[in-house]
Amino acid sequence: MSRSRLQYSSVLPSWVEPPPTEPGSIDPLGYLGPSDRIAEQLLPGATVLTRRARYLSFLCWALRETDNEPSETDRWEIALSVGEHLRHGDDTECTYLGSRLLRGRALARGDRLPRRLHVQTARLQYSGLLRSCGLADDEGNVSHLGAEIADTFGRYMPRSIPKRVSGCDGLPCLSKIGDREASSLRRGFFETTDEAGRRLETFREVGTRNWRRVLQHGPAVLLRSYMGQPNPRAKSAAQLLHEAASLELESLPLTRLFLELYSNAGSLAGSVPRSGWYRVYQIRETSKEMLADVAGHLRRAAALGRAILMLSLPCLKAHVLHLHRVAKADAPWVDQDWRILRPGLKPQRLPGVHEYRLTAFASLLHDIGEI
Amino acid sequence: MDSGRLQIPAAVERFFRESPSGRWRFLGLTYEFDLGTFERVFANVLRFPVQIDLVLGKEPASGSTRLRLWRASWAGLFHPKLILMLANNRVAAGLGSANLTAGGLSENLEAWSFFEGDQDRAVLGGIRSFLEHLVRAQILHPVTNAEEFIQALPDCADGGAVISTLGGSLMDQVTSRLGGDVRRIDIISPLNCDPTSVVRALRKRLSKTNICLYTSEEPVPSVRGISSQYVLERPQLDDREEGIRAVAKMHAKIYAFHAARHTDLFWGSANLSYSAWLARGRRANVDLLLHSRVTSRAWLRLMKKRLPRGHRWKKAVSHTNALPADEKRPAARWRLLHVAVEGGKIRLEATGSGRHWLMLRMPGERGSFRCCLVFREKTSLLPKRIAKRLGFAGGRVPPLLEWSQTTRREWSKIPVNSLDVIPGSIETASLECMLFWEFTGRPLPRPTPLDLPGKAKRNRKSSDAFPDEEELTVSEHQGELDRFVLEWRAIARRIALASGGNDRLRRHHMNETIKRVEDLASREPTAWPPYKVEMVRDLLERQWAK
Repeated sequence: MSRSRLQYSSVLPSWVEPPPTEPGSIDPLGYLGPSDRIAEQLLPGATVLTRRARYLSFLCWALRETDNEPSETDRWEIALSVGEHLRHGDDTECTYLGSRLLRGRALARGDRLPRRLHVQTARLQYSGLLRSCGLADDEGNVSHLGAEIADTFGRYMPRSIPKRVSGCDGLPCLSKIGDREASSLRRGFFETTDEAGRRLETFREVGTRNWRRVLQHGPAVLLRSYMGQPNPRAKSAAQLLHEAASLELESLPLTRLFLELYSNAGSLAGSVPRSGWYRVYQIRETSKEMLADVAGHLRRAAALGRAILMLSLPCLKAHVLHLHRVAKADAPWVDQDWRILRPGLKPQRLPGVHEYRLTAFASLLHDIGEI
Repeated sequence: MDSGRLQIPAAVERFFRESPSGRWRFLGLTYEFDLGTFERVFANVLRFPVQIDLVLGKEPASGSTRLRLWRASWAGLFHPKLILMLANNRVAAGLGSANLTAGGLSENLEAWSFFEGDQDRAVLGGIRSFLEHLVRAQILHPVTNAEEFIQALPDCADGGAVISTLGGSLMDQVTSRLGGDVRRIDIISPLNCDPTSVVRALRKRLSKTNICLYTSEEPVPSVRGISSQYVLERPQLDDREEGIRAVAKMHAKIYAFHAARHTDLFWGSANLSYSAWLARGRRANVDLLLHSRVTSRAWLRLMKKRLPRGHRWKKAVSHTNALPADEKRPAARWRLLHVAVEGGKIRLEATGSGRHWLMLRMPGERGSFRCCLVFREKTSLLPKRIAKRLGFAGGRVPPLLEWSQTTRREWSKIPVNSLDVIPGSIETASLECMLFWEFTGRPLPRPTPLDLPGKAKRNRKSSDAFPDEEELTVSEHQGELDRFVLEWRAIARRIALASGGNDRLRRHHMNETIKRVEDLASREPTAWPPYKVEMVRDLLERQWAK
């Protein structure tokens, strides 16, 4: 073959780029889906963000007052938040939306009311719960019960949106809920709809004392009491809590193990002990203790009927990697050999048990004086 | 590409999206294949009526009814990475280092490019020669119809810009193509085995040349004959930029030979290994390299400046003499490749002929069936008794089968492909339905019953349907022969149109179709008397216009 006749291209190769993906750093093993399903059955309508009952009263009033006009509702909400800010200052006991942003702004009493504050407004966050409690319909029309609550709440509201910060002084506090308003909200939570019936069952199943403990210490204290053998004749709320408790026995240790392996590019010193002491829903941080805690949790989960694999470090590593590659198929954090594909995704605070909306609902119950 | 980066699935999707409907085909040659990743990444392409055939070097983990998976009949590693796309007579090809796996399509550092049109004639012509080699050596199953791509690809003298191990040793071919004195060689390649013999051969042919090795293996192994080594440094862990993607490993294979005025690049699928560069014949891998001649500046810019964000080459000191063990090569012994189901017959294809005792089972099942099969011309029919017990009963076709030789008990998976179903379905279709789908991407129109006196209820008219296709839906009183003629007239017109002005391609389509008709006629002589075969032949030979 003569050299002059040889053909070549003038094209340079390109580097292959991954398909575009959404950034995301939570739920590396995909346990959020099952836990959310349980939470939706336990406490339908609520979310982990719906913590203040009086926002429902405010929304019933605002929907009626503004004729379901979103921008006006949001302005009223800003006034409500500014009022809380004036009342409580840096005190964090009374929580309200936009508090962090307001603390960051040095608002003077003579300033104009901000036109914008937080993005995730109560209108967006509480709309599901509002409907679920039967206080408004899908079109934003307030129900009879909603109108009743709006009337009660409306007594404390000024006739027009305050123009200046100082005018927000007179708006009601989210923590000071009257008996009549609380009673109406209680009916909304527990009586009006099928979903309310499910909430009532969960409320009764947990019991007032436990709700208080959940409010103070989080859901782990409650889930611990549901780790016994399941009773097939128990009510559905009890069965769901039992399911959540056993899911957490699996999801918490595996997620923590994955994050540890992710940080160390797949290497972890030590081996899985055959037996040992551990504290439920607590995973210690050193590798040896972590493996003991992981093994303890998984053994307990297996005793509760979850399908758990062989307890050896290679098996655990392969298992969490498989779970991760399925959960984050579009943008895995690590490859098959634990090489990091997306650095810097380890959360600042290590995850605990899922919330199952329990703390948020306990807070709602606390607001209406139920616990 | 100007940006120096591309997304393979997006380019494939764009090709089909921009093409008029008709005969759409995708033929992929890959060493490794991951069905889950392929289905996820190419989800948009799988929505199109594309007939997809994939030829694999390694056994697949799972099978599919949407894709047809084939094992290459090659004793060594079947290692090329090539994508061919055909839309009527429009053809495009992509080649590089990426397997059709999660690593290849998104995680690794891979080199790839797509080629289409007259400006890439040298590359497309080279790919054509490569396909001709594959077909001649019977490495591809005939059903993959690589011949169709050969006819659609432009002809190119002297093999074009693509070289492959099927045309002799890569070392000979590469060194014969170098123009001018080579002063430096940049080698970007993963180290899967000891490359000393290749480096030694390069040094022998190109003395006084600096050889720089760029890889991602850590610890960096020491290779004799390499002047300097670089390792790919990935974004560090303390990089708080959420969402940044780090490559898993460097998998590109690029060989840059710097002369005074230009750089000869050879890039593609060949690793820096003996079996890719020096071995010949059946002992060699099947590998591809594309020859590009570019300026040194352009090459250095691609290599150094256009790496993914946060990555760079870092000079490395080799720490160890331990080179990776040689890649595991499939034994050259007899093995089963795949199964093709057609007309109720289940054909097992193997790498050789002869009488073999086999164990067969469904994947994941413990119970297996022992049988002795005689392979003639590398093919054997599976007895109905065994087929039924393996789950082929009632027209069902499992996507995968496991087999083992009775003496060895090493289970391997083989894909099962049903040739008489439309991709994605499981119901057996007639040859007419199959052909109409293959050339239009639509089901063959069926007559709809009359619901008003004197008026036929018409199907929604397809935007590119012809009047004779409409006749298929409205002729309520057509007889069996009328319908036969109408169907084959529609198919013949579509075949002619799918070929565009390419006579070679049209002749190929006609020959293939007649072959299929004759095969069917030999199996079903009552349904296909000779006059019908002649009628089809006559319809196919006619000059059709839209």
